Formats: sequence, structure tokens, C-alpha cells
Amino acid sequence: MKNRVKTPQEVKGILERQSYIASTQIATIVYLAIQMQRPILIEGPAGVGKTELAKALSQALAVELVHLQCYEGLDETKAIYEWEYAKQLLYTQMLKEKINELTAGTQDLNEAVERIVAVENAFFSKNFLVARPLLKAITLGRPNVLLIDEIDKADPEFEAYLLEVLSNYQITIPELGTIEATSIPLVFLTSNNTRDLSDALKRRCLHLYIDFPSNELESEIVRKKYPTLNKEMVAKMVAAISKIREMDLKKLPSIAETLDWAQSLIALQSTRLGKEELETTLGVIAKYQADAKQILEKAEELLAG
Amino acid sequence: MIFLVREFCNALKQEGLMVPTPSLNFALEAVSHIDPLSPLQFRSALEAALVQRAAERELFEQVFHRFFIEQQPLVYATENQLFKANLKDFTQEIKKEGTAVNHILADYLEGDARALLEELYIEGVEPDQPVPLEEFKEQKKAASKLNSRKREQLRNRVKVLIELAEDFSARSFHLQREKREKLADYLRQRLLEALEMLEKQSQPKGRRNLMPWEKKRTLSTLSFAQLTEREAQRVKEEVEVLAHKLQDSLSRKRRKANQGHMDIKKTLREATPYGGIPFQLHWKKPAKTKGKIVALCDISSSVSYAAQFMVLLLYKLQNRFSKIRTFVFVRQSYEITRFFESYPLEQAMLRALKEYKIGMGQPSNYGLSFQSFRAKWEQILTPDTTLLILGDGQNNFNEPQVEHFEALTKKAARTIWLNPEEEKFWYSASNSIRHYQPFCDELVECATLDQLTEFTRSLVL
Ligand SMILES: Nc1ncnc2c1ncn2[C@@H]1O[C@H](COP(=O)(O)OP(=O)(O)O)[C@@H](O)[C@H]1O
Ligand SMILES: [Mg+2]
Repeated sequence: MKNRVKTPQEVKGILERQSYIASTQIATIVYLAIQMQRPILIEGPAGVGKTELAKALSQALAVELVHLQCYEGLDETKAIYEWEYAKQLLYTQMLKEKINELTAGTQDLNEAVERIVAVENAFFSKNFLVARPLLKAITLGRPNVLLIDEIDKADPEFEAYLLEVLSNYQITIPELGTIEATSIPLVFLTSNNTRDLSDALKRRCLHLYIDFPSNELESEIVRKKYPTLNKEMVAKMVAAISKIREMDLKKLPSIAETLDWAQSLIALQSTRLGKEELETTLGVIAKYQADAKQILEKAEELLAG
Repeated sequence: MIFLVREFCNALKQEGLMVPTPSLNFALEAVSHIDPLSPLQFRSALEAALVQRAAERELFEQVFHRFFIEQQPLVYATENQLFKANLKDFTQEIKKEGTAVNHILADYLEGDARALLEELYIEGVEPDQPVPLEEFKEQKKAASKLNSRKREQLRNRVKVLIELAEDFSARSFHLQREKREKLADYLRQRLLEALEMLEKQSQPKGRRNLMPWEKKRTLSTLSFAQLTEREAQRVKEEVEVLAHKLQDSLSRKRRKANQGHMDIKKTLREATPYGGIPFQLHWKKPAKTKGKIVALCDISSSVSYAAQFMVLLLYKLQNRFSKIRTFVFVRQSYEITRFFESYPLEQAMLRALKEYKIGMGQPSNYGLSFQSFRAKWEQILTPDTTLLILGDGQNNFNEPQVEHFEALTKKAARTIWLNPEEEKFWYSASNSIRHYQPFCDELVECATLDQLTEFTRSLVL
């Protein structure tokens, strides 16, 4: 993938073609991750485009996206690999006769078990192995983007596995031995900072903190998605949103909310943004009743020039 | 640029941010991929490599701003008034000549780079205000035509200033050696960086990804004292290559040795009185192994790299000598031979340091070190021994105790002193080398890989 892009500017360009508007900072760090073959750890508030960045980049580079969504209790069988129990069982049924032959003439249970153990390899082969995202990404055989989304939701123990995979790009399966990577994925980790990640994992990564966007950047994002909205309207929306983000709310609106808001305003066929329009569409921006109330109280200030 | 990034990391450390060496290397690698003339790219690369927690971002930004935008270099924050005053002296001297170019550079050295950057058409870019690419190119083209003459002038001026700066800092005798070096370092690095910027601007586009400062830091001529950790690693590899080469030419020589060959020097020397016509050819005797080596190395931190490289080289060539014994000192001499016999270089050094609890950071004391060496090991110096001293002679105003050194040299066949410090620093007040010099057969500057190579050749070939 190193040769696909030659400058951060180019990264910006190919992302924009996927409707992802990247700041110079984002483009630079993505560029570095590609050149240095290092994972990126993206942090920042919800809805600022962390997940979307990995998706857009995989499309921009025309490579597969391997997505691992983390959650509490995520374990190896969902993240790395799993034996296909049902298939193993099915084969055992189908091969019943063979197994009978094998154990024929044995004196006791122990002896029978020993004979089966001697051939158990047949059932722990790649035929019965289901590759989960981590294994898949490194054995795909072609470049890909591996998105490990919301890593902070997984248990700390899982980080240890992950670190091992990201350091050596190989996975050891006790029954099969070590599987080496046939492709080095471009790795994106995202985190909402609900807990601190281990220092070891952090040290391996380039860090990207995506904050709420500047007004200019956010206007661009909105206009890219909704080109029919007029410029003044977009400017006014974005200005209001950025002021709302300075308020003391339970949940601050992010880019996702701004985009939803734009869509609602289009649906209403509004041509202007006044207190009335704000009130009708408020539910899109404010998820909590208390927040909505605060916003409405400040409506005039928010919508002023 | 390496210097700059390193200093920046020091500034971060001063503010309490952890920057372990791997992070520093990570940062250096990162900036090598981007366009360092784009402030935003530069900052992003550093931030991505150095800031590990969201909470540290603000601090990073503050320090970055102070260091790169306001250009308050670290020395300003930490050095005393004297340093500032000397810097000022220098810039005043430059300004006296009065041309605009000199003023620009003087300001730059004092920490105000605006005028220089303006010349280069590097403007403070508004964050994330996309300039259409075409427009940008046009602007740049126009700018570069307009200024190419002035830039040429600047470039030449910077080159002259680099030399002036060396002179100036070498002459600042009222400063301690350490301070003087810092001043010299600071001036040189700042000027080299200015030169890089100037040259980078006039380079053809295709070379954007090259690191110009890498090119300038030619390992073989770079003083050991200035090496970064990564460079030191590379020099070590070079030393191993060098050892191989020497081994090769040695074994070739040995094969030839059975035939013997002409001693050109001797033949010509004797031919001189006869108008250069050689009446008698002298033949060299077949090469044998040289005698015993006793190496005594100063490992106080300022010169420790040089000691490591030399020791590494000696051991790679150990079959050339009947025996090598290695000693190190800061304030006392310790034998560390046995560590080298059982461990690779770095480990051997570490184990030795640990076992003897040698504090490399202490100021060295040559007098005490020679005295303690003599008391214990004088008898190992035999008529076939080459005594190698490696050190800068920086005795920190301690008593040189010349009599001990003299006694040692009398016992050895010859004494060669390798000095990893550039010659112009040899004779400062705190330095004792002038006391020891009369008893050495040779005193050689050995500050770079090239010099080390040359010396080793002469030793073993
Ligand atoms: N820079 C951007 N350019 C275009 N769309 C964006 C950008 N940032 C965010 N978005 C939009 O915002 C929405 C939320 O982004 P998402 O990646 O899900 O947020 P996160 O993962 O940070 O919580 C996405 O649907 C995406 O379309
Ligand atoms: Mg997400």
C-alpha cells in the first residue's frame, strides 16, 4: 500500500472522493501509518468520524475492510479463530464407520481413546477452522484495512492478545502451530476513552485525536453530503452547533447530529433557520430533555449572525 | 533536524511529559516521511508519535508553540544569562556589517525566524484552510523567481557564518568548556538548519521525501560526541565492517608475506641523498602479529562512544595481537578484559559498569586513574606492549600526577594517545593533555569513524 499514496495531500484527495473530509492532521497521520506500517489509535468523542475514517480509507484504497467490533466479554473465539464444532460433529457422524474400524479390537476404553487421539489431527485441521477478523486480516493474502472498533469496550486481557498479534503478525493455534501473516493489514484502533489502554499497546501506535471539527471543516462535510443546502444556511447551522458544543450539556452533538439536522431541515424544506425551525428539529440535536431545554433558552444567541 | 527534534523532546521532558528513547526514535522516523516545511504536517507527525494520552495534548501544544512557533529554543529556557549574552555578542557582531541579509540571520539566531521564513515564503498556514493546489503552485513559482538571488545571497552568507560561529565560540574563553560547546553546537545547528531550508527550497520537486539533514550527517566524519543513539548503532555496524575489511587485507598480506616485499619508505629514504635513485632495495620482513595491547579508556559520558568503538574494533582484531587487556577509568582504573572475553560488547560494558559500580556521569580524574593503574598493573607493561590511551584529557582541574603517567610510558614499548575530541579543544585550562603529551609517542585526534579507521590501519597493517 506504500506506493499508492505519495503525500498526505494525496490521502486527503482520495478520502474526499469517498466523501470523507479529512483535516491535514488526519491525512498526515494516515499517510504515516501507511508508510511506517504502524497501527493508528484513534481517540475522540463519539460521532466525530473515527469509524468512518477506516471505512472511507479502505474504499479509497480499494482494499477489503475487516471489521472487529469490540464489546465486553469479547474473546478469542470471536476475535481470532474458532473451531467449527458443528462441522466437526457432522464429520464424526459421517465417518462413524471409519472410527469404528479404528477402534475395533481394542481391549478397553483407554486403548480406544489412544487410537483416536493418534488421528485427532484430522479434526483439528484448517478445514474446521473459522477465521475471525484478526486471523482473517493477516491471512487474507492481500492488503486490507483491519478496523478494531471501540477497543476500550473489550476487556484488558484482550489487549494482550492483540498486542501479540500486532507485534509479530502471527497467530499461534495450539493444534496447528504458528500461522504467519501473508498480508500486513493497515490497522485502525478506535477508542472512546472509557478506560485507559495499556502502555505497551499505546507505544506501538501512532496517535490520532479527532476532536470536534472546525467550522470550516464541518461546513465542508455538510455541503459534501447535502450539496443542495444553501451556503448561508450551512454556515448558520454549523456556527450554532459549535456554540452548542461549548455549553454544559449531558451529550454534545457531534458530526453525526449535524448531518441528521441538515437532513431534517431539508425534509422540512426550510429555507431559513430561525427559532421556529430550531424548535421543530431540536430532537435531532439534543438527545436529552434537559439539554433541549437549555438549547432552546439560548436560541437567539445561537442563531445570531 | 535530528537535533531540533531531540531538543524539542527535551523541552517536553522538562514540562513533565515522558519521552522514552523509543518514542524519540519513533518521532524521528515519522518526521522523515513528511514535508518538514509544512508546519501542520510536522506538528501532526510529532504529536502522533509523542503524545500517548489525550490529557497530554494540551501540554504538547503549548510546548510546540513555544518551541517552534515562538522559536524560544530550549537553551533560552535553561541556560543562564551568560549564554544569552554571548549569543547576543555574536549576533551584534554580525549585525555590524549592516546588510539586510545579516540582520535576518542575526534575528534568526536570536530566536526570531519570521524574517527568514518570509524570505523562504513559508507562511504560517491557517489550519485546514485548503488552498487550491494550482494557486499554491503559482504563488510558489512567482516567489521563488523573485527571491532566487536574495536566497543565493542568504545561502552563501549562512555558509560563511557557520565558520565564523565556530571561531567565535572557540574564542569565548571566559566560558566553561561545556558552555562553550553548547554555544558552538547551538549556533552550528541553527545555521545548518537554516541552510537546509534554503537548499530545500531550491531543490527540484522530486526530492521531497529525502531527509536533507541525514545527508549532511555523514557518519564517517561526524564527531562521536554528536551521535544520536541510532547513529551510534550504525557506526557500530560500520566498525564491524571495518574490522572485516582489515582482517581480509591482513590475511591477504600474510599470504604474500612469505615472499616478503619491498620497504618503500626505507628504500626511498636512503635514496634521497643520491638524487632519488635507489641504490639499495630494502625488503620488509614477513609480517608477524604485533605485540601486546593494553588499552586504557576514559569512559566518562562525554567520550564513552569513542571508547566503545575502539574496544569493539580491538576485539574484532584480537588475533592480530598476542594479548589485549582492557581497562576503563573515570576516577579509578578497572580491568574489564574478562567481560569482553565472555560477552558481546554492550553486555560486557554494562556488566563491567555494574560490577564495579562505575558512575559514568562523574567528572573524570586522569591523575588518580593513572596512579591507581600504576599501583596495580605497572608490571603488565612489557617491552612488546603498546599502551593505548583513549580519552580527551579533560581532567577537570585535578592534579595531573604526571610522574605516574611517565613511569607507565617508560615501561611500554610505545604509548599512543587517541583523543576523541577535536584538536582545537585540547589545550583549555581544565585539560591536562598538554602535561601528558611529551611522554606519548603519538597523540592522534580520533573523533570520527574516518579517523578511527585510519588509526587502526596504521596499528595493525
Ligand atoms: N470527516 C468527515 N467527513 C465526512 N463525514 C463524516 C466525517 N466525520 C464524521 N462523519 C459522519 O459522521 C458520522 C459519525 O461518524 P462515526 O465514524 O460513526 O463516528 P465515531 O466512530 O467517531 O463515533 C458518520 O456517519 C459520518 O458519515
Ligand atoms: Mg465508531
